[in-house]
Amino acid sequence: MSAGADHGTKPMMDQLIVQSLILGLLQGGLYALLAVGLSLVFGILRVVNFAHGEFAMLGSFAAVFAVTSFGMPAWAALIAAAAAGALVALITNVVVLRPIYLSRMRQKGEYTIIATFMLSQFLIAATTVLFGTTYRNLPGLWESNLNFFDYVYLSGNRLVAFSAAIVMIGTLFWIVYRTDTGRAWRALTQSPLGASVVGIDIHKYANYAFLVSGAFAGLAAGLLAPLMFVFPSSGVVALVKAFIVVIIGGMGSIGGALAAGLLLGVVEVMGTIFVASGYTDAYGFALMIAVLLLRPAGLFGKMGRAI
Amino acid sequence: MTKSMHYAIAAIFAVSGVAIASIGVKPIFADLLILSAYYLLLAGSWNLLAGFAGQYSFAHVGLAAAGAYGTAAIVNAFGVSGWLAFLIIPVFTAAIGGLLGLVALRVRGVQLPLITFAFAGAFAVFLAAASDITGGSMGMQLPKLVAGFDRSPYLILSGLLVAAFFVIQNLVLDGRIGLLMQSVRDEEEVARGIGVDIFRIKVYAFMITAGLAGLAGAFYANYVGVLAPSMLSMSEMGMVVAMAVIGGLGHRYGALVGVIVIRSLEHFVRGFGAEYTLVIITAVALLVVLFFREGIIAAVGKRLDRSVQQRRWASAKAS
Amino acid sequence: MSVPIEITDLRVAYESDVEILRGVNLCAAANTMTAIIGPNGAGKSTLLKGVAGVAPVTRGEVKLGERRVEGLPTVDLVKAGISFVPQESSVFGQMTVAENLRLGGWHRRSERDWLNQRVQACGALFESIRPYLERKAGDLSGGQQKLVEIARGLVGEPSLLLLDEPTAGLSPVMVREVYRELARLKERRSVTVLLVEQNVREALEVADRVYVLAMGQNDTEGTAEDVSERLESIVRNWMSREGSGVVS
Repeated sequence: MSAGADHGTKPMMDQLIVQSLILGLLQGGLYALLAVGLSLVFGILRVVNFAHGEFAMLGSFAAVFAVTSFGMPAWAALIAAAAAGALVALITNVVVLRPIYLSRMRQKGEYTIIATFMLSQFLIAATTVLFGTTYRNLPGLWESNLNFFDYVYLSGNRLVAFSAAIVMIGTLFWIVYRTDTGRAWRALTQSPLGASVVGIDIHKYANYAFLVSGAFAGLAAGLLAPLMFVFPSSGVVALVKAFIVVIIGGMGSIGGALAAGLLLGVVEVMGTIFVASGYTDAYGFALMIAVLLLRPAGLFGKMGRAI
Repeated sequence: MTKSMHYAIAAIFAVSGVAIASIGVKPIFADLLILSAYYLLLAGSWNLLAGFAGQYSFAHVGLAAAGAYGTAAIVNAFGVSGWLAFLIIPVFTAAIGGLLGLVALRVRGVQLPLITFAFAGAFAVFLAAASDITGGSMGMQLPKLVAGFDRSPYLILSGLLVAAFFVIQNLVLDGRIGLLMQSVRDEEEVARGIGVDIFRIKVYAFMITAGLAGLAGAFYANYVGVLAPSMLSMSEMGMVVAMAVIGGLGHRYGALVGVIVIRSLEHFVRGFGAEYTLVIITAVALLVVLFFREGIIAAVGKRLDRSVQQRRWASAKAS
Repeated sequence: MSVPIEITDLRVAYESDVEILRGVNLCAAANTMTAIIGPNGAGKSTLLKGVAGVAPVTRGEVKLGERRVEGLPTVDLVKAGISFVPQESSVFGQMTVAENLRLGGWHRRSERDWLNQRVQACGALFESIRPYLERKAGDLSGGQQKLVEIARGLVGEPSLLLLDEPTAGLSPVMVREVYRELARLKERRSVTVLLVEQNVREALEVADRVYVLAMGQNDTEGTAEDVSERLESIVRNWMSREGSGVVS
């Protein structure tokens, strides 16, 4: 092997690593946005919401129709996505979940899983009937390819999506640690009994949590739509990602969801580029198993209890 | 019901399989019945795992798929007879189930559904991506168990498999392990406190039910002959859960009732097209989940109890 | 401002429809301190939980002054002036002690000045937690956490205070602190207190009236002096019942 060839490949390799690291982080921001609401709702109600992926899916459909049927600009489509996600989430909580956790039945946690799972199946089937299985596409906010340091190539859409995700998660942190709603959420997460005896209205704040959870899922899907496709069962993939993120990050932890989302993005991109393409969705699972074996409570398990 | 009645029900299925095969039914009905047996094995064993042992796993259809692909693999690669798969595959999937049981031991409560859901997702991706082995989304073929288009051997087999399922279920539920499974479901900490070996019970529950899922998978592969990753899509898992829940989770014949309801529904609304069928079925399942939480059997039972009581009242007044 | 409470035939049943509380009657005048004692499983805690809206009331009445309050959600009960300090841990472990206290005044959170003053006042009640207001509540000892909960229960200036075994698991020093505060509350005559206690003697010392429960029903009642005198025969009565094989 000649010294020259060695010089040539090493910087190439470094460049590839940098490029994939950036790509992974950008993707990971969206995973975090997708998962953070799931984690919030779990913390407050101890409910694993299997219909969370469908909040995202319906959000992305709302965005597509906002653009194609109503001719709205791309930014308005994102608002439509968030609004649709929030609305469906609120209805889910009031119609499907509240009767269960108000009831005196055993195994409420497991039953909410069954109920939300059946809801998710119904929403997928209903969307398929209404809109068909066509793969749809959505224009992004910044349709251009950017180039940094000569070798880092990024689409503008990805940058927009990542920035929006980070701003939204930042806003959520602000809500959680600086507002009364956040105080109520933290109280409910840390001690449901304590929250109840000081007079915090669990129904009101559960509704707020579902609104935020649905809005974030819808927005995440709206931001992902220009990068991927929109179709009725897209929520299943979204849910798998969100589950992996909350398990890695610790159930109920917002900070954990952010870190785990970014980690998942990087691992997926790295695995796809350096190991084998085609298995993208399986790398996350491998990562999750590794984390479970080493730290069953998640990487940030202790923080998990704080939201 | 007495123990012998439970075994009589198993025997009825074995006999009626033979009877239906010898009388002969239209191919469309034969298909309906044969695939219903597949679903009964899956929904029934999932009911055993979730309804009786309290382990909500979403990897069950994934295990059946592993069994089906495993069947195709050993038949194609080693030229083993498909019949042998009925013996080998359940052992293979029971081993995978045991591993899942070990995972279930490490995690608390709601983590299990999440992990198994992710497992099913990753497994589907793997099957589609590893196209050099599995044929990807094009499918994986295997030779038929019985040459020709005669469905009667499969009908007999269906009856026998359903009977076998009920016999195994009877043995589990009427035995010590069934009681221990339910104690783990209801009060895991208390069960641990009084010395129940949680480790063994969970692993056994996963192994038994995974073995049954594998049996279902082997049957499916041998009957259908072409396998595609869509076999373990989430909507299939949704079907299985719907069947168990509609009949009544944690009821011995919950899955049977669920399979009958959903499969007949599927049969009667099929004219509307596959998409509508799915909407109708999932809507029915969702309504049952929301309004009859204990399932149809319990709901009907309560109503019967009430009417019996009313009649007693009436006769008491009259006399 | 304090109110009398009148409980009539209160019944509580959890999921299995087996009544844990089988018709309890209790009357407490405004600003008095009532101790509730009884053997394990008598339904003392369940009585408080039923009044506080934490356990499902299936029948009976709870009158707070002139107002019927049974079956109301906890949110409304807190607004009506009921403060419940449960026996189970209920601190917010990841928040500071001061934040915990602040949440005690949740229903009046818009009155900033009042709340700040209440948090300060209640933070100073117990020596064992006074220095730790900025510590995370979860890092304190179990006894200190209980004191935080009691202080938190007083922040909202309740008219009815329900204390469920406030001294269980506390060190002798802390038990004394709790009883000093209870004596202070009694002296000031500003709140009606229902106190469930295992430490019968301490409870009898601060209480005006005492109710004895057994097996989910009223056993006997009387003034603190009266019950003190009869205590031996009351306790013997419990023993004989437990000995008779009746599951409590």
